[in-house]
Amino acid sequence: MGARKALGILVTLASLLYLAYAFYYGAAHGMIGCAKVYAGKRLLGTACDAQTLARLKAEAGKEAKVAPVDTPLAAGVVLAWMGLLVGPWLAFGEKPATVRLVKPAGRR
Amino acid sequence: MSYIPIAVIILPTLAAYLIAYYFYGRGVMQNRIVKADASRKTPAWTKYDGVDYVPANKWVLFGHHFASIAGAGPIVGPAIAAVYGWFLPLLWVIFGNVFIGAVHDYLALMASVRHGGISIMSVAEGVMGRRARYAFLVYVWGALLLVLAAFLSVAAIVYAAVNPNSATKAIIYMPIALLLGYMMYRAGVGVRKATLVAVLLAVGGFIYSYFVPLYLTYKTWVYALMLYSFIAAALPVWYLLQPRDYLNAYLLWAFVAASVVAGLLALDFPIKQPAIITLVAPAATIGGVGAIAKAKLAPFWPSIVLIIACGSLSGFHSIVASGTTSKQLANELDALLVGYGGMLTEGAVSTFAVIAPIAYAWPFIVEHHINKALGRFVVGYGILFGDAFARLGLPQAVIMKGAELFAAIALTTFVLTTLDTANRLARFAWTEMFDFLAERNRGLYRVVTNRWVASAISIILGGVMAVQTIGGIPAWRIVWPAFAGTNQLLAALALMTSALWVYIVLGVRGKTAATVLAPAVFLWVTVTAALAWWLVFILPHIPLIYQVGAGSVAVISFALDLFLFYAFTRSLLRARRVEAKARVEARA
Repeated sequence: MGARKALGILVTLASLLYLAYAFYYGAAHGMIGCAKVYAGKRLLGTACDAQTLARLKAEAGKEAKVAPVDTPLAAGVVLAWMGLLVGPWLAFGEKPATVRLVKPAGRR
Repeated sequence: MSYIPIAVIILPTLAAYLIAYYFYGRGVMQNRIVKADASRKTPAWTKYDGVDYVPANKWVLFGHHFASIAGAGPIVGPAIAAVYGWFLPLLWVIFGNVFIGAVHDYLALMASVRHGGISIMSVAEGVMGRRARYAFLVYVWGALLLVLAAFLSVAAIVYAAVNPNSATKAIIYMPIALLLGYMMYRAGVGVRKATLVAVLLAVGGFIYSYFVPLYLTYKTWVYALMLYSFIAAALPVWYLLQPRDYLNAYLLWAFVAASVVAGLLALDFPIKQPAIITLVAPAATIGGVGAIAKAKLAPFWPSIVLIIACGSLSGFHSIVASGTTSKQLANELDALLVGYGGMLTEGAVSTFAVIAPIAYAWPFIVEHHINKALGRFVVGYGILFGDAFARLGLPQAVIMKGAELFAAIALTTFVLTTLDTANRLARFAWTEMFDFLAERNRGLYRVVTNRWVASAISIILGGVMAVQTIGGIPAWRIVWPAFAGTNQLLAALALMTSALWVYIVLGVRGKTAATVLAPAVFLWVTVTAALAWWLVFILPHIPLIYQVGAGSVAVISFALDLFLFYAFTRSLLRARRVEAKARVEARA
């Protein structure tokens, strides 16, 4: 196995594992990452789970504004996303193994 | 009958599209003009490289082409044009679509295919000269940078502020598309089985993302999307682009099918909007910002060409058709479905999902002062769908909610698609711009046109315009009011190039040639009149910052417009002179 292929498999697996963790976390907390909730211009608090977010929004009423916050968990999701984009390409290479999808021209 | 039923919109449109596809598209364009031949090898085979040139199944390619050309365009344009009433926009969509838009897309695709998969801008060199080609290429590349900036910004706003749940969906959707590509191209799983697995996973992903939002700030999203777009635009098409757009197409087909079914269920519903409300709309409809936004300064003709783009005709389509699509076409006969059929399907979206629903829901729209285009669409679509499917015993409120959700999912999905496709197209345009280096300095040419370098340059410049603000306004927004003119000018130039290709290269003459030359000249006159109108009546009255930004683009567009029309007429007259001389010599 070449270094490129090994790296590709490693990146793909690491990305998948991280995404699985983040999505599990998201399912358990109702959201991935955190958001600040404002009542007009007044900051009410920062929510990192759906229940707190709903409570703060209810507290703010019609003036509620939700502003996302960057967190390592959410940033990691984006990095894992990129990892999944690059990993399989490193592992499997450029060319498709088969073009069996198509009928060669002239066979109609 | 005291009212006009919606059948008046639905049935003639369906009939027009079916007749156009089989008789005009197949009979005239495919068989008499292009003489498409299944035995002629396409560039996907002759220049196969496993990266950009990869033959695709015609339905997969239709999915890619349709998903790439259909962003929010077929929805937003007709929704804005509703201020004129329903009748004139409908006429423009049907006639523009059948005789101009679909012809433009199909010929751009076929001209590219017959020239080894090069862009329509490079095809221009053969019929209009080298200078025309470079002017056209630079202009298109600049327009694509603007598209990149706009879509980076719009996608980041949607993910960060409007709908963080759609960010989760985007994250889940991409790996599913990769898996689909892997199953089809590496594991040898059949298209049907692979599609079934991918669609089931996508449905599961939609359900998950409906409940779980992903929060990141606007700037982080812009940078993340830049990175995504940089990588995605340089990867092989079979790896992500083909399978992702094929999956997207299922969403679009479901959307089109549901719209047609709702239209058929609602055939006897009354049209509640006046057929013609006005012939002169507010300046805001054609990019008039500031104090003149409400002034009546947009006459139906020529303004309509700036208002309704994708639903009727759009220059961006020719860049897609001669950029990514032509390099994946496996058989010349597939081009009719992909090029001509793709455009007709867009027109169907405009008619069934926008014009008919808004015409039905008009009193509600007026009463609640719904002036934003997307608001009109969502409300009209929801009301017509709710009432139509209520006839089948389905609860109205649930249908309306479902229709709104469906529309939001479709919209956010296509934003990301357009982003990396636009970057790939910008990469192609960039590469073709440096063709002249190939023989002079091979090493430099290789570096400059390296796909990773080309992909990075375009997305970085687009990203700068998305993040940089001038006077508190994002840089891309300052030029955006001129974008409609830029896009439609591209359509006029691409159709002129195609018309010359048909006349000079294919040697088509008489009435058959007129089916391409006449729409090309009509479109050029309309776009030129619209640009001139904008420069004279809109530009002097908009805020200074827009005068500088959008004004510069409009002036450049107008100059290029005149130059390329000069090149067009010169080439056409030269071809006629050569022909006349040959005739005289033959007689002698």
